[in-house]
Amino acid sequence: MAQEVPHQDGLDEYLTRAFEDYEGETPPDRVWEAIGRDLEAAAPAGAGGRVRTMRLRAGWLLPAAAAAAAALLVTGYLLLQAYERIESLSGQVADQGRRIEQMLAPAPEMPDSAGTDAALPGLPGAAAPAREQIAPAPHQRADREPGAAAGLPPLAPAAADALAAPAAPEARQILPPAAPLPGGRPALTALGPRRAGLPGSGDVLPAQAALPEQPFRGAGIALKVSASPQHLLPVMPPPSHGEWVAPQRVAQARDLRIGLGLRIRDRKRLSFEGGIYVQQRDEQTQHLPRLRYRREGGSGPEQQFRYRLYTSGDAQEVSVTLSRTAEPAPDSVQIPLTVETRQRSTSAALPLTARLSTGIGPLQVSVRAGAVVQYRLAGSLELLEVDTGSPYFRYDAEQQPALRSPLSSPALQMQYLAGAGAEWRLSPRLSLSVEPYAQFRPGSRDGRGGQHARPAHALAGIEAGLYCRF
Amino acid sequence: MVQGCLAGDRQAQRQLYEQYKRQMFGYCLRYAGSREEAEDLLHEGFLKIFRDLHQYHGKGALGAWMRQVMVHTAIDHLRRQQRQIATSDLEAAPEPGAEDPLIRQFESHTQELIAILQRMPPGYRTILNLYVLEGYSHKEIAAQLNIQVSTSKTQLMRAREVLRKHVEKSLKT
Repeated sequence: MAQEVPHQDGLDEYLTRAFEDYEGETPPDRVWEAIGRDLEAAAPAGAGGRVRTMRLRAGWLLPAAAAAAAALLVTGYLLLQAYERIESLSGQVADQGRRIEQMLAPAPEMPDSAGTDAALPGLPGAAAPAREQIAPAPHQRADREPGAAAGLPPLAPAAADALAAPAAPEARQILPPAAPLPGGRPALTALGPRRAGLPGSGDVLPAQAALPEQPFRGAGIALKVSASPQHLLPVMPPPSHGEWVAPQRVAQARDLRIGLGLRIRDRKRLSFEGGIYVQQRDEQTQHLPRLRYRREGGSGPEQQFRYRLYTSGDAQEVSVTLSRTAEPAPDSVQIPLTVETRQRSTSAALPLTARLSTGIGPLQVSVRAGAVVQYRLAGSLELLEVDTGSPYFRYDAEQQPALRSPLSSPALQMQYLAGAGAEWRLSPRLSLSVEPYAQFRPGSRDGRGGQHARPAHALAGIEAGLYCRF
Repeated sequence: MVQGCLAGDRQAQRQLYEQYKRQMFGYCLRYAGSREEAEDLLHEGFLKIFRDLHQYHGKGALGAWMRQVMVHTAIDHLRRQQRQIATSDLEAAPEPGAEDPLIRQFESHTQELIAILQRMPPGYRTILNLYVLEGYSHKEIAAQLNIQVSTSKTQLMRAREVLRKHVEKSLKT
């Protein structure tokens, strides 16, 4: 130690001068041995299947997320337009089909269809022989048929009765003047728009009213609010640097998500939904009683074996380190701090899910599965609190919120979700859904030295949404 | 040697390690809380050096670039223990005393200073290193450690107090 006592102002200079010519120390050989092992292992690991967190620059990510959301909306709109067009054409084809069926089917209002057909020359069937067989005498025709005096072909008796009978008042109001066929006979449309299903009839066909209710398909916007009250499953992080650590427990975590989704459902009860939501997470981490074990070994003159045994509880953590080295070094007992970490984070996510639904009346029961690409948007506010129950450390009133800056190393995180739920149809265009779900986030590595970034975990939540069909 | 390291030549990597290991280990000892932790930092830092060596374009000394990598390794290490920054205070820092065997066993005053640094709370130690020895500003330190500027200033002030106490105590004995 230098002999002069440094002044407070000169302390920095004293420190700087002391380290200026310091040449360092020789590290033990085991360091290079460990480096060599890691370098050997790193080569195949680069091409292997290690899970790594995708890292992108923040400048790229936000525009990419916005572009993805815009592309999603545009795609949905185009699909919706195509779908509506197909649906409209499908409805027109169905109407035409029903109209043709009704035109060809025997009309219940007509007492004798053969008589009608008999009035139309050229139509196939038994009408022609009937007309020939039942043709009345010319003097009878003059009495009964209005057109007989003009020399028109004879009508069947039933048709003649129908034409001679006075029309009902409503029928007179509804029936438009029928276009005459060649020869002065009324066309088949004279059966009336009420039966032919023509536009402008102002009525609903009985056949249409009896159709089963269409499934709630199509495309629409879903407004989602979901909450995850608690994390469920702690997942053990991988061993790191020869140290095994039992998992930490995330005691409480609450997610609140608000987002918009675009859902497209086809006729096969399969729907796809993509969207974007903003998530606010508030989590509090505590330590479980845990056991840590670490063994360090080496060779050479600085041979050293260290065994560490850690036990901890919620209120305090005690670690005992026993060392036996070639160098004189005291054994140490450490009592580190125990803290509760409260972390608030805001993130944006792009969930993509597929949902299989079946309907029971207005109720749709569905199961869904999908993936969520999540990006921490605005960092996290980490509030650190010293446990006041610890007898060793006093409470530090200076709670210092530390704003982490994930924007310096933003990460995309893939998550997987599965759920089931029910959807209640409130109106032809609006439905309310409630869907519990489970979400799993696998562990990741930060790609820099093999340290695990955050432990993986699963969570459960419930999601409520309003789905408005276009 | 650099080209060999870039090509993955183990001999070249070993040569680079041997050339700079003492210097780098000295930096690690300043930032670590123990010799074992310094070995971990050295280990992690050299892995980063070999991984990111392609980012060194020959501008400036290789040793200076490696030093920056080591410093950032230490900062990353501290980030993983970040709770200790906010929770460390003067009570958490060990009081200097004649019974401190770790200090007295060193003959070199630099090594003694390293021992003092290692017994400081990690936040004190890191900020003192970054501000005094690396020349970072409080704003840069706050950005690196994700803390407030006021926190950096407070921690530096307390670190100086602890260091001064230790130095005075050591000189008296």
